[in-house]
Parts: sequence; structure tokens; C-alpha cells
Amino acid sequence: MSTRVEIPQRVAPAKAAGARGRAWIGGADTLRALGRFVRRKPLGAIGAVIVVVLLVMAVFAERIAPYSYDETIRGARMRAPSAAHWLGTDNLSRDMWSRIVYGARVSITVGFATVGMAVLLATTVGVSSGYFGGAYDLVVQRVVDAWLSFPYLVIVLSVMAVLGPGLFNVVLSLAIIIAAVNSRVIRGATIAIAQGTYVEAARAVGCGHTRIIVRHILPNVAATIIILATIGLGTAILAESALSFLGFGVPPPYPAWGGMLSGSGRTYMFRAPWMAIWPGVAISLAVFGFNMLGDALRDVLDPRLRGSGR
Amino acid sequence: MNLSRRHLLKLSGAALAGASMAPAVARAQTPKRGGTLAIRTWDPPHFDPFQTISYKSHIALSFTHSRLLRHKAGPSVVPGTFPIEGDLAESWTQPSETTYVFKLRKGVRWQNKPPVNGRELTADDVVFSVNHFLTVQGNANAYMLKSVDKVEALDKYTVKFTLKESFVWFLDMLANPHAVAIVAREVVDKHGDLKKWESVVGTGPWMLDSYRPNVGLAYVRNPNYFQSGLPYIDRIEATVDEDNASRMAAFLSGKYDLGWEFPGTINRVDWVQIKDTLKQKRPKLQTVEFPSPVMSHISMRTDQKPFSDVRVRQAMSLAIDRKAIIEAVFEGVGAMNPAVPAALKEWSIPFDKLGDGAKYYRHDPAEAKRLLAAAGYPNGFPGTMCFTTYGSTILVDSLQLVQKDLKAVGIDVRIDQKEYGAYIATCFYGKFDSMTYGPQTGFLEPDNFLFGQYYPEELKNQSHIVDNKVAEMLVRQRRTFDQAKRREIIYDIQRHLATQQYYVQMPSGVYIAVWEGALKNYGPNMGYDYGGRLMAAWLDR
Repeated sequence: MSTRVEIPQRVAPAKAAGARGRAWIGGADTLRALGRFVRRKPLGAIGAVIVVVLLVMAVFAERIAPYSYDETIRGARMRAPSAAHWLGTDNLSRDMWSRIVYGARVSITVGFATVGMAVLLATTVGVSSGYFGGAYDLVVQRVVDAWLSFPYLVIVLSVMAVLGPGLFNVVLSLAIIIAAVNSRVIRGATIAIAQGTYVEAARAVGCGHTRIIVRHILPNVAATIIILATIGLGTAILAESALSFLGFGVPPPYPAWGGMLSGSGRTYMFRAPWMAIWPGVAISLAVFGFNMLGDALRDVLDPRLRGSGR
Repeated sequence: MNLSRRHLLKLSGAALAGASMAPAVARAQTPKRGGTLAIRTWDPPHFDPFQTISYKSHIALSFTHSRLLRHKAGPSVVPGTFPIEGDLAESWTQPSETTYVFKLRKGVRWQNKPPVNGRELTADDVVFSVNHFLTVQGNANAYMLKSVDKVEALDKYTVKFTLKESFVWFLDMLANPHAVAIVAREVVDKHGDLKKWESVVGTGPWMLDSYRPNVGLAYVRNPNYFQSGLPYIDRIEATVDEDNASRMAAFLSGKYDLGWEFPGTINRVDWVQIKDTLKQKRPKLQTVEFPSPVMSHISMRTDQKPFSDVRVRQAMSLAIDRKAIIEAVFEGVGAMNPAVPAALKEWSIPFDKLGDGAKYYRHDPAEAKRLLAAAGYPNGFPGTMCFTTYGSTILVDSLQLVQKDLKAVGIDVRIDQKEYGAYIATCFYGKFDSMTYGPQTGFLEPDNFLFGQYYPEELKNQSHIVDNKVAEMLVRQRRTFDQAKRREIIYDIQRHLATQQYYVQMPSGVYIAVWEGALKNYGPNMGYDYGGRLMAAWLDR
């Protein structure tokens, strides 16, 4: 005689996180929740504002920028910041503010595309490795170890040297680096979750691997993935700037902040310091914004940190 | 403001005036032996002159090795001219159009290092070096002596070259610091090649004393140098310094005696920023300006549409605002170039003699559009442009202006940016689909600029040109010993090329050669021969 056992689809840990998370970000009174977020996590709120501003700049660059990124303005070579040109002009008589605005598009594109690709790769590797374990886990983790043992710039520059500069290649090379680091974290979370009684129960009633992973593991590592993704955005933007600085980024004349800083910005640093200052400020602000937002989201979404007052 | 022919002449005049005064001053003072000269250098990939075209290696070896002939150096030489004098060769004769006989100096000794340990240099060493240069695998400079049929030692101090055909630039090639450094067979036998720094044993004025990768090289005076009393300077400290801000700071503090950029210059963009500070900190600095032979150009697949139509190429040239490039990237001081760069003043045709082709160097977008429409491209066309940055802001900035100018007439260029190695392996040698933009080697002879780039099937014929008229003239100038007649042929070549626009030439910058006032009897010039230019210089401090 068989006994029917009811298996809950989402069990305690995920539910708890969901319940508390909703209290922060998805409750009925969104404004009140936002207000509480701003009060409790002011740096996170500033980060969120910066991210939103960057997104707006990237999406509406044509409307925000007074000039095209490659438009030369006759008689306006290396003009200091003024009412006509808020951030000055560069050595090719182009408006710096316009180029900074268009540059946000590169940073945002690289940031989100890199993180998207990295998350997909890291989740596949990390979850499968943590869930299946055994020899498969051993082999995969040794490969990840080997990958992590190289300085990231060496790998990225090698990939770029083979594939050549370009936006997609920047994204690809950064994604495989970030994915290796993230997969290790996701694997750890997967191992912890896979040992849960609800997973054992699911297995006991005959659920297949795919169902267990999709219905039980992934929802419970989602918070970890979101946090990694948010922090990874800042890393990706900084890395893209470093690649552009080294001449492996987006080809000219499209402006990338790192490229603006390393090229003419450095060359004319004494005579036109604004050519180096503004791209540097933009990079710093973007990285600061994404990191602060990521930190705040981690505090909000991670049950272990919630309520700690941090 | 671009540098016109008149300005160039003024610069040359100033250089000549300085040159004519400087020897008098130098003569009035007795040269002093001793002292250490400090320069900025580049880390050589290795030290085998027959295995690399890298200026980094050739500059390093210019201090330590001799050639059969060399370019005369010193304040009396006008930058951009390259009079030839004997180096290891005491004299030479030309019994026929294809035969050259060189008499070597007697008593020339190799530097006192193993495995040669100061033995006497003989004609066999020259024969070995030339044959090694011509036959060793991987020598990209071997083409310079492609005309040599055989080289033989007639006796201990006599070397005879027999050429396959007339080649009037033969002596220039032998004098060029790219070409044959004379090396000893024992060194090659011992080391297999000449890549290690321990294998740097020559007959030049200085000996390589130490080499620290990515740090620097130190040279000490060769006490057995064959020119009695030379060199005057005891030691040369060459520092590898890859960061421009660091180099600039070092120069401001007096660390370097020569300008930190090749060949002993300071880029104008940097010069403009620090010249006032330098006036206070280093008031005795000397300067001379002369145009750079390095020019960038657009090369294109002239064997394919749309570039096979001369009107398209002419339109592209008319689209380029060269004056704006000079203003934006050369701080307003530059030189317009026909096919032979203006820097080679003996061979570059003045624009007022260029004839009908001169009009294609104007900036005339309306005429460019008209020509494109006549060629069947009223709305222009898309294309790709292969490119590498060479780490140069000037190059990246000028590329952006070129791209913008072409777009203005409807030619929508997508930049295909490649890593340096990939670029050199492909686009530099004509392996591209549409267009390429980049600089050319700053050669010292017009033949290197013309023959390699315009003769059918040549390795550096990037634009895939097959033009029988220009090919015939290129061969003819190589057989014309009368210099005036040869110059007229080379002028004719440039007139023809101006109308054809197989390459769209860009302007060059004007070098600012800078050196410490205490360095006497020094004359800057183009080319890798740092050692040759410093050999008879001395320090008064």
C-alpha cells in the first residue's frame, strides 16, 4: 500500500527569502518600500540613481547629447568647459559631454552583455558541477582552477589577440573570465541546496535531474546569481575600460571611456586636463554606482545578512 | 598651418646655417674624451640584425657594429640628406655598371670579446656577412641586396660585388643601417644565431657592456676602434622606458641627453606642453626641426571594384582635408607628401612641379562627389578599413578624421581594427578586402618608397598595383646613374602617381630633434644610426 506524500514546490529557504524580499522591493506600497530602502541603504540608493542615469544616457544618447560623438565643431579645438560645451572639447574639436553620453552606451552594453553571458555560463557550470558532484565535479573544478590561476588580463589579452578588437570580442573575453569566478560561488550554493531535505524528497518521489534543477535548485540560487550579476557589472565596465585603455576595446571613432582616457586624454593631459578627467570620472561613477547597488542588493537578498544592520 | 615647401626650405636653411656655424664652434673647442651620455631606448626583441626589421634591434646594434659604408653624420649634414662615406671600406670603385670593388681599411680589429678576441677583420668577414644576410632564413631586409649576384674576396682587404643588373641605389643600400651589419663567422658558429646579447660583437665604436631586459643597455667605449681617438664618449646608458609620462618627467629632470622619441626627438604635442618648463629647467637644450619621412596612407584593392576606377581613388584623395589633419594631430605644423615624402628633400617633388595631379591633394568634397557619381557611385559605397593603432594617438586621431572625411562624400568606412601582429601579417602585406590605413617605414631612399609599393607582385605592393607605365619608370630609374636624370624620372613617377592615387597619402609631422647643449658636434638626422651620429660627438660638462 503506497502512501502519497505532498512535496512542496518551493520550500522554506526560498520562501523565506521571497517573503522578506517582497517586504523590501515588491510589497503593496512600493513607494514606502523604496523610502525604507533609501533610508537603510543610502549608498545603494545613490548607486541605483547612477545606474538609472547611465541607462537613460545609453538609451537616449541621441536626444541627450547636443552633438554627435564624431562631429567636429569648427574653431573649437580643446576648449575648456563652458556654457557652450559643458565638459569642454577634445583635440579633434568634438564635444566632450556628447562623447561621454555616447560612451555610456558602450559601458552599459558591455556591462550587461558580459554579465548576461557570464551568468549563463557560470550557472550552467556551477549548478551542474555542484549538483552532480563526483568525477564530473572534480574534472570541471580543476579546469576552473586552471582558468582562475591566470591573471585575468593575460587571458583577456590573449583572447583579444586571437579574435581581434571589437565589441563582441570584448564581451566574450570578459564573460569567460567572470563566469569562471562566479561558477565557483554558484557551485557552493548549489551544493548546500542540493543537500536540503526537499531535494532529497523530490528525488525520492522520482523527479528527474532536470526537474530538480529547474524547480528546486535554480530558484534557490537565484539570489546569489542576482548579487553576482550586479557586482559583475561594475567589474565588466572597469575591465572594458582597461581593455580600451590598452587599445583592445571598441574601435574608433565610437567613444569608450577607457579609450578616451588612454588616447588623447593622456596625451593632452597637461594642456587640456578635462580630456582625461571626465572619462575618468565617468568610469569611477559607473563602477561606484553598480558596486553600491550590488552591495545593497546583496544585503537585501541574502538572508544571512538581512537584519544585521549592515 | 601646414608646412609649405617654402617653410621646408626655411627649415633647411636654418639647419644649414646652424650646420655651417656649428663646426666652426666645434673646431674652436678641443673635443673632450669621457663622460656618459644617457638616452631613452626600446627593448630589442633580440640582437640578430638578420632576423628582424625591428628598429629596436637595429638602433641597439648601431653602436656596436660597422657596415661597409655609412651615412655621413654631424652638424654639417642637412637632415633629410644622406651623403655616403666609407665605414669599413676605405675606398671603392665601380669598374662597370654591375661591378663594385671595395678596399677595406687595414688593421680593423673586432671587439675584444670571445670568440673573436680582437682578431683582425678581413674581406672574408664581409663576404660571410653579405652571404649570411642574403641566405639566412627569415631576413625580411634581404630584398635590399636582391640585385647581388655574387660577392667575393679578391684578397685580404678587397671585396668585389657583382650584380645581376644595374642598381644605382646599391651604395645607398649598403650604407643604410637596415642593411648588412658586418659580423664574424665565429660568433654565428658559436651561438647558432645572433639573438643573444652575448653575441653582440662588432667593430663599432662602442661595445655592449650589459643588457637587462626591459630595463636598459649600457655601452662602453671600444678602445680598439679603427678611427683613432673616436669615439669621445666613454659610456652610453640607454634606458628602456615605455611610458610617455615617465619619459617626459625623466627628460624634464635632465635624465636624457636626447629627445626621447625616435630618432632623438620630442613629439610636437608633448613639446608644446613642456617647452616653457624646459626653457627654465634646461636652458641649454638645442633643437632642429625637419619633416618626418614616416607618412600614413590609405591603400586599397585597386584590382577590384570600386577602387579599380581611377575616379574613385581621385575622389578619395579629394575628400581628405589634409590641412585639418595637420592642425588637429600635428599641432598645425606638418608637411604635405606626394608619393616620395617631403622629408627626402632631394627626391620628393615640390607640389608646384607636380602638374595636373596636384589638384587631387586639395580638399574638395564637391568635386569628390562629382567624381564618385561619374564613376557610378552617386551615393558612395561602404567599405572596411584595416587598421592597428601602433600605440599611437596621432595615428588613431588621424584615422578618425580620415573616416569622417570619407563619410562626408558618401564612403561609409567600418574600421577593422586588428592586433599589431595580425595586422603586419595580413594588411601590411596587402591581404585585405577593401582598404587599409597605416604608416609606412620611414625609409631613407626613394627607391624603397617607390619600388616596393608600386612594382607588380612586390611584397609591399599593398594596393595590388599593376601599372606598366610606372613599372617601366621604376626599373629605368634603377638603371640611371646620372643623378639629375634619375631625379627627373622619379619626379615623373610622382607626377604619374599623383593622377592615379593608388595610395592616398597623408601629411607627415615635423620632427623636433632635441639634445643637451653639452653634447657637441652632434647633428640629428633620420634613420636608425644613433651610433653613427654620436660617434664623433663629445660631452662638454
